[in-house]
Amino acid sequence: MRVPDDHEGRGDEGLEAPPELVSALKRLRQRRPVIPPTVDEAMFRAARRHLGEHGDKGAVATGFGLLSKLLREFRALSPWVAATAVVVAGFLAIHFLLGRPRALVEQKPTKPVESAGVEQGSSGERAARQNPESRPLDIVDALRLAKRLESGPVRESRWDVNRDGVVDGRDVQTIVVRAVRLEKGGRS
Amino acid sequence: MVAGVEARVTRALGAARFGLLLVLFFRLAAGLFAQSAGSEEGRSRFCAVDIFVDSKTTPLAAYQLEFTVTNGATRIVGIEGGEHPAFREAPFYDPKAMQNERVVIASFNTGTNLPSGKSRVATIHLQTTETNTLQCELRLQAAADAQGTRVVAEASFEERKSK
Repeated sequence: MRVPDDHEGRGDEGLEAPPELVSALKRLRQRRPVIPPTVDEAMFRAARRHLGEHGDKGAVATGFGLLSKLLREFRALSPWVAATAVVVAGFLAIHFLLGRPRALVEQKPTKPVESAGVEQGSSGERAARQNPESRPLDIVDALRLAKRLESGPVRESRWDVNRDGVVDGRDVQTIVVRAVRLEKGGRS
Repeated sequence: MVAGVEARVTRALGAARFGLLLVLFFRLAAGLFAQSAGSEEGRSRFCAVDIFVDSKTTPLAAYQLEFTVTNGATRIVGIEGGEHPAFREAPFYDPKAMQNERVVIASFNTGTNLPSGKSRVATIHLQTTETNTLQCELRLQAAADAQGTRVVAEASFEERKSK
């Protein structure tokens, strides 16, 4: 539905207020009614009494009621708020206290490693030679295979680590990859 | 009946407000955490740790060692080779070690020009915080001579002094 446009065809006609109205409005601004604080207080008390009588219905209906209701609810919630604040504060305290980097200098000396006591010709070495995968493959296996490959083709299937039917540089690569592989994303 | 519905609505509103309050708390807490992490990152520094293997009089042809940073605020950001031509190329390592605190590095050389005695075989670059003093562990897993015989060796590390 179109709202009738009263401006059409009228121009600026009748925009001036009557002089009586203008003077009355001016008088009104000059004479402000004085309301004593006692009246203010009485009205406030009456309003509170009225809203109290009308219960939640009245409270929701007016802005004052809504405010007082919110305050009441907040007061009811305050133990929960306090509890939450305590939990959050505790959480933050733990984070800041325990999260501080430890200023500790520690260099654990490394022990000389005999690589599980394996010496060439020992029983462990023989077992490893019979089946290179009986123990974790390491860089020494890669070195041995690389050296053997340099001196000629290797036909022993036990060195076919990647199971592609050929013993070559890719098997060396596979051994190295296995040797340095981290199980869980680099974390110990 | 209207009063009942209103009471229920009021209760629901109360619960929603409480939930909102909780969310607000945790948002604030998360903001604080992020701010703290940001400031930590802002104060980060980079350092390099030289890795040495001492094979005494035996020429070193292969090594494999595990390097772990034991203070949580430090991360591995790069790995480079050592000083001797035999180990000048970056060693083998799992790329998963980057941005983590543990790495296994290994290298071998089938040539005859091999280092003996204490030699820097690699350098590990780390990102840490300014306040953090480096705390690491190093474990030599294997070392071998030119014939592929396992040898006794010692591994050590040293934080490179900034110039």
